[in-house]
Amino acid sequence: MRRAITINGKDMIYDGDGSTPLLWFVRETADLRGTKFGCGAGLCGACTVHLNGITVRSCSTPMETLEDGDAVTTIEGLGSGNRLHPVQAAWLELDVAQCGYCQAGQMMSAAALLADTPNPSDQEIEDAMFGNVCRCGTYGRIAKAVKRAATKMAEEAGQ
Amino acid sequence: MKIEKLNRRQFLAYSGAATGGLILGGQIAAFANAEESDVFFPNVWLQIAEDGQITVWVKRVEMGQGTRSSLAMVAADELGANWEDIKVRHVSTDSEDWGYIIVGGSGGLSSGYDLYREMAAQAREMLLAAAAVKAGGSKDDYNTENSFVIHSTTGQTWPFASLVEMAARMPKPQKAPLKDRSEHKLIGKKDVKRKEHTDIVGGTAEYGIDVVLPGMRYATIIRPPHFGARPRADMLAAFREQPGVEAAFLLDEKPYPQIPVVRGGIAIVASSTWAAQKARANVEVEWVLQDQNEFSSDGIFAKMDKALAGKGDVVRQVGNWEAGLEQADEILEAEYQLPFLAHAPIEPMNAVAVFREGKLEVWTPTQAQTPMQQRLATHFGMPEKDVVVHCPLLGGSFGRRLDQDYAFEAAMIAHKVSYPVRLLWTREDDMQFGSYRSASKHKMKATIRNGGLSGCAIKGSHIGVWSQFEPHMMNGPIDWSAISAAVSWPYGVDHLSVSQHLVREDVMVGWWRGVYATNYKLVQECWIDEIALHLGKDPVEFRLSMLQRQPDVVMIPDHPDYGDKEMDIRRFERLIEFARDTAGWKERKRAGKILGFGSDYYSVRTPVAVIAEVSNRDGRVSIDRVDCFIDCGIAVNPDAIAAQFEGGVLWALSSLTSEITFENGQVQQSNFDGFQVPRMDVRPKEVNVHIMPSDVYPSGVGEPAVTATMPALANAISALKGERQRIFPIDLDVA
Repeated sequence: MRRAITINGKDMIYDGDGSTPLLWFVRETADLRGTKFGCGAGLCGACTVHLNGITVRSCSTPMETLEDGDAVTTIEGLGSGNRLHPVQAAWLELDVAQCGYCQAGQMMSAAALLADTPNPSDQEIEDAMFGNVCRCGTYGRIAKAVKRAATKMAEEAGQ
Repeated sequence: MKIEKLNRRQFLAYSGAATGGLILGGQIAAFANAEESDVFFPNVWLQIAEDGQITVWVKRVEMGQGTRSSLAMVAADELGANWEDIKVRHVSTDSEDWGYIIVGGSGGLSSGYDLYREMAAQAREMLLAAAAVKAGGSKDDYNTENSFVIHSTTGQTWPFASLVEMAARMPKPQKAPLKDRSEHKLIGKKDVKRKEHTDIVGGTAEYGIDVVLPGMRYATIIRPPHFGARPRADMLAAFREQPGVEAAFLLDEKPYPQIPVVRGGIAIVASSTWAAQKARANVEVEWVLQDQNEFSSDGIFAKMDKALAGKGDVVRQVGNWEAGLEQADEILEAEYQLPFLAHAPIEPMNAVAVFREGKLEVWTPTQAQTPMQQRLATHFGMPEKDVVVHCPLLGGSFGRRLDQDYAFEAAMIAHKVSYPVRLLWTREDDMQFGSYRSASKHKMKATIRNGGLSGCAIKGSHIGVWSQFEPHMMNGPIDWSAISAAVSWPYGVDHLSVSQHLVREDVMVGWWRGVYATNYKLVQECWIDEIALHLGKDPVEFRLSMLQRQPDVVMIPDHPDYGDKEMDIRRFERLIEFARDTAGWKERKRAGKILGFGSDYYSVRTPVAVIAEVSNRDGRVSIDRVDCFIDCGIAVNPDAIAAQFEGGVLWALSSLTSEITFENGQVQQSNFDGFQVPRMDVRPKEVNVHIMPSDVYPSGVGEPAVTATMPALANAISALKGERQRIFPIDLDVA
C-alpha cells in the first residue's frame, strides 16, 4: 500500500503494510518522536496528532485509512524553539508539565479545540480534553493553560 | 538519542592523557574535551565550560516530581549562578564516583540537598581564588552573583567563563563555607522554570521510549498467563514466518523470590515496533499449564479475613489493649477493604539493551540505576563496571520503575542477538504484569470510656513487598515495608495495639506512590473521623485534643536497622492548627460547606494536612476546593511542591476510585477502559497549597502529597453521601 501525505508540511511517501498505525510511521519512519505511545487503543490520547486539522489518535489510525494529500501535524509541527504555538507558550508559562509524557497529546487536543472554539467554556474544555489522560494529574493547569492560550490567540488576532 | 562521542569516563581519561598531571576521582583539573574547549570540573557533580554553560549532574532522576531541577537550583544558588546558565543531566552507572543511584520514598531532594550545596560551594571557592590570583587581594574580597565573580568593594566583575581556566588550577578546598540561608536567592523562589519544560512543549524531550541506537531492532514479549506456564513447543515457527520478524525464542523464567521476577514467555524481535506487535496479534499461543494457581481477588480477601481472625503480629503497643477492652463503656468496630491498584504511568515499560565489546549497556527509564546494574551484572556473570545503565527522562513512574523486570527482559533478549534491541511493553502488558499496590483489609476497634476515646486496635492484612520479594529485609515475622505506615498512629490513647496479619499470594506487589500509607493512613484517618463523629466532636478539634494528650516527642518503632523515629507532636499540632485556621474550617463548616479532613506525619518526617470541600453537582461528587498544608522544611521549589499536591489530589482520587482485580490467577483489566483513572472532568476546581515557613532541613513531598489527601477526600465524600465509605473503590455518584 502506498500513500503520499505531508507531515508538518513535508512530503512523505508511505509504502508498506496498510494496517500500520500512523503513530509508528510518524515515530519510526518520519523520526518524529514527540508523539507518544500510551495505550495502543485510542483510550489515553498520548498519541494525538492532527489529520487535516482534526485530532486523531494516531495509534488507532491505520495508514490505509489515510488518503493521498492528507496533511498530518505533530507536536513538532505545531511550533518549536522561538516560534511556539500559543498553546505551547501557555503550557510553558504555567509550567503545566510534570513528567510531560502525555503533554504533546494534550497540547494537540487543546490546539484543535481552540482552532474551532476560540473562547471555550469550562464544559467545552472538559469535553475536548476528556480523551487525554494525565497520570501525574496536571488537569487543573491544563484547563488554565487552555484559557491562557485562548487569550493569547485573541490578542494575536487583534494585533 | 544522541550518543556522545565520548562518555564521561572516557572523556576524563582522554582529557587526562591530553593535559597530563591530572588525578581522577573528583580531583581538580582543566580538560580539553573533544571539542577542545576548556572545562572546569571542581568535582564530579559540576562542570563549567569555557562558554559559561554550567552542567549539574543529578543522581535523583526526573519522573515529573521536579527533583532534578530542584537539586540543580540548590547547586546554582550556592554557586551564585544564573539559572539560565544551568543545564541538568542524569548520571549513568559509569563511575563509582556517583555512589548508589536510586530515588524513592520521597527522598530525592533531602538526600541531595547537602551534597549539592557542598559541591557548589567548593566550585565557588575555587572561582573566588581564581579571581584573587587574577586581580589581586584575597579570595575573601570576592563574591559570586548571576554567574559573575564580583569584587566586594570595587564592584568589578568577571564572568565565570573568564575564570574557568584559572579556577581549574586552584587548590580544592576540603570544606568550603556554605552560604547562610538568608543569602539564598533561588531556593524558595516561586517562578523558577523547570529545566525539562522547553523540550517538553516542543516535543523534543527524550524519554526512554525515544532512545534509538543504530541497527536497533524492536522486541515484544508474550508472557505466560500463569507462573510456570510454557508455550507449546512448536509455536515459535509460526512467529518466525510473520513479516518483519527476525527472531523468536523462548525467554527464560526467573521466578521469585529472585528479584526482579521475569516471567519468561515468547520473545519476538522484528524490524519495527508494529511488525513485532502484529506478529504477536496474528498468532494465538497455546499454553501448556501445569499446577497453575488460579487465585482470585475474592480468594485473597477471604485469606485476609482468616488472617485477621488470628492473632497476627503485634508491632506497637501502648498500655494494655485487652484490659482497656474490659474497662470500656462502649466498643466501636469497623472493617475497611482496599483494592489492588496499578501504577499505569503513561509511558509503558521499555528498555534498550546491547551487548558489545564485552559490555552490557542499557538505556531505560528507571528509579533504580545502581540496583539494576548490580543485579544485571550478577545475572550475566559480569563485573559491575561492565554494566552501564543510562537513564533518560521517565514518563511517569510512581514507584513502578523501582522494579527492574523490563530492563532484565530487554537484556535477556539482547544477550541472544548481535544487535541492540528495544523492548516495548504494550499497555495490556503493563496492566496485567505490573507490581501492584497491595489490596488490604482492616479491622478497627475503639474503646470509649467516660465519654472519650480510651483505646484503639488497628489490624491490617495485606501482601507485603518485603515478605514476598525481599525476605532478607524481614524482621522476624514483621514486614516493616508495610507496617511502618501503621505504627505511626500519632494520637494519644491509653491503650493501643497495632498488629500485622500478612498473607501471601502469587501477586506481584510493589512500591506505589505513598506505599502502604495509602492503605493505613486512609483507614486510620477515616477511623478517627468516625470516632469523632460518634462522640459528637468536630473531627479537627478531636484530632488536636488527642494529640494534646501526647508528650512533645513520641517514639515510633521501625525496622531495627533504621531505629525508632522521633515524632515531634507539637510540630504536627502546629500544622493542623495552621490548616484549620488558614482554610477557615470552622467558618466554612458553619456556612454549610461539606468538608473532609485528613492528615499524616509521613514517614515520621513530613507533617501534612488536607482539607477537601465537595458538593453534589448533578448527582456526581464535585471536588470544589482542596487546601493542602505541608511542613517539608526548607521549600526549595515552591511551584514544584504545589504541582505535587495538585497532581497528588488526582492520584489520591485514583486510589479511591480505581481497581485491579484478579480471576483465575490473572488480572481482569487490560487497558484504560477497564482500569479507570481520573480524567479532566473530575479535576478539583481549586487547589491551594500552603507551605509552612521553615528553616529546617528539607524532607519529602511526593508521597505526603497523596497520603493525607486520600482520607480528606474520603471523609468529605462520606459526609456528602451521608454514608461512611469503607469498601473501596467507591463511585462518585451521589443519590
